[in-house]
Formats: sequence, structure tokens, C-alpha cells
Amino acid sequence: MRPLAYVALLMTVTIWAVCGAHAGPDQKQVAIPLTVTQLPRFGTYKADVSIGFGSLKRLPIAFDTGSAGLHVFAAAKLDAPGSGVRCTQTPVEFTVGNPGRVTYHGVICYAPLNFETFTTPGPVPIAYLTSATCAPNNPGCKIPNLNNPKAHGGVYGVFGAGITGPMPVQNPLLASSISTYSIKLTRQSWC
Amino acid sequence: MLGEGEQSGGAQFPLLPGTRAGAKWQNGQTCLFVNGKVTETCLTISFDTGNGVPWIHDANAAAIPQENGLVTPGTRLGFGPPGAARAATEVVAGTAFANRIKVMPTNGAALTNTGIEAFFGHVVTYDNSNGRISVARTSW
Repeated sequence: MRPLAYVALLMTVTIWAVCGAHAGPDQKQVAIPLTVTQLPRFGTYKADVSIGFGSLKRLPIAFDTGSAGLHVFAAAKLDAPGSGVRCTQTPVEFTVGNPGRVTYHGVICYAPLNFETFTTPGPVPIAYLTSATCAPNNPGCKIPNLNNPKAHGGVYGVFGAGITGPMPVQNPLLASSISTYSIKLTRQSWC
Repeated sequence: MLGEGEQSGGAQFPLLPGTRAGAKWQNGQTCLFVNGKVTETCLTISFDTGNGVPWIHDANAAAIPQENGLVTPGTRLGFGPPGAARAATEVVAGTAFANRIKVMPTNGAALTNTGIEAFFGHVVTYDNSNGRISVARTSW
């Protein structure tokens, strides 16, 4: 994947900290870099964000405002010993595609998120997806290998930054009491 | 850069109250623009960085120039809030995979997806408290 477009973008997150001593919101702002790349095969662009889960090293995660909630595949090994991620036995599943194509299954985990410039003040919910099945209307489908990030374009999950639609797990920004955030994307080519 | 919230002068797309469990908001409406002129094709809009190519699902998109199910190459397709005189952001239809904008009739709810292209050169602000997405041009 050739980085024709580079980190030209910043997501500005406006944090409204709730401080009892203040009459109004205490506004603190941080910027989280996103990486934009152009896919050589299709010519389309995609945005990724780098996230460390708990004490794990940072991994590329797709940045998607068209969905809500943080979904991470088994390749991220959130359940590894010493990861700093707490996984529950609460099941979670969601189906991608319209109509549905593949249904992912897993459990809900919790971890603080380490971005390059910002760490969430507490753990946020994560849908940790460890298996997949074909949707009923799509028998015989190709099941992606959840242990291989190449199966999902080199990313280890999807950071759903949208604020519409139902959320099996909450948008991680909203879960961190961040209710307003701005996204700047710039396409800059070296050609 | 740091500390920017919603940009002044940005176009505001109000979201609608959510109707499904767990959804505070649902996508709002847009009216499509063709080469800078507003049309009467108004439908639900999804601002979606996770989608590489814009598309339109609408059974009534006759106002959009089309050829073989695609927006006519060279057309500037704009997205603006209902009632706006100008588009908040635009994409240009082409002939390559990356910029072919499909128009698909649907019996379901009409919906357009901006794709990531509509974000370039803009600041897109998500305001969960007030239920709106605003779009402002940026100089970089």
C-alpha cells in the first residue's frame, strides 16, 4: 500500500470535562492524527487511526464515521496475558452488509485507549470479535480470517466514530465523555 | 488547530431523533446539488469515511444526470442541508472505480453515502449533544 496521501489530517477532539467547581464546562482540546492512504488497486482512499489497547502496542484501526463503536478482530490479541484489557463473557455480535453478508461474534472487553497524543481517561467498551459466520441470506460466503489483519485490509479493527444508529458498543469518544469532535482530512499526493 | 470545535460558517445538517433502541440519533437529510445548483432530490445522508466511493440509493433521482446507472462523468455532485443555497461539500463523478458514483433505485428509504471524498478539504464536526453534523471548508 503506497502512502500517496500521508498523515495530513487531524481529528480535533473537544473534551468537555465535568468539573464540579466550575460553573461551565472546562474545555480541553487534543488532536489525534489520522493516516490517509490511497489504495493502489482501486484508487480509493481510507483513513486509519493508531490505537494501543491497554498495555499493548499501537495497531492500525480503520477510522469509520459510517458506523459507531469500536470493533476489534482476534488478530489484535486483546486477551493475551498482561494486555491490560479486561474481557467479559458478555456476548456481542453484529452483521455487516446490507443485506447482511457476514456475522461477527465475540465478547465485550474494556480497555483504555492510547492514541499517539491522547489516552482515554478510563476504559472504553470494545466488541472483540473472535469468530464469524455467514449471514442466513448469504450461505457459503467466504469467512474472513480474523487472526490475519490482511483479511481486513491491514487493519485490526474498526473505530466507529459515527453518532447515528444503534450501538452494540458505544462510540469510544462518546464513552470517554467527548461529545463534540471535528475531523479534518486532507488528500495530499506526492505525485 | 488545537481547540477547534464547530467551525463558524459551517453548514449544519441536523440529525433526527433515533427511533431504534440504543440510538440517540439517526441520519439527517440532504438535498443534492448538480454543478452548483440545488435539485429537488432530497434524501437521507450518511457522512462515511469508511466508504471509498459515494453512492445514491433513490428511486427518484431523475434530477441527477446519469448514464448507465452512474452519475454522468464530470458532474459535480454536492450535498447541502435542506433549504441551503450552496452545497456544503462536493464530489466529482468520474469513470474510474474510485470516482464512479452509482445511482441505484430502491424500494426502501432513499439514502446517499458521501464516502470519504466529501471530507477532503473540510472540517466535519460531530455534535452528539445537539444532534448535528456541520461541514465547513478549510484552507488546507
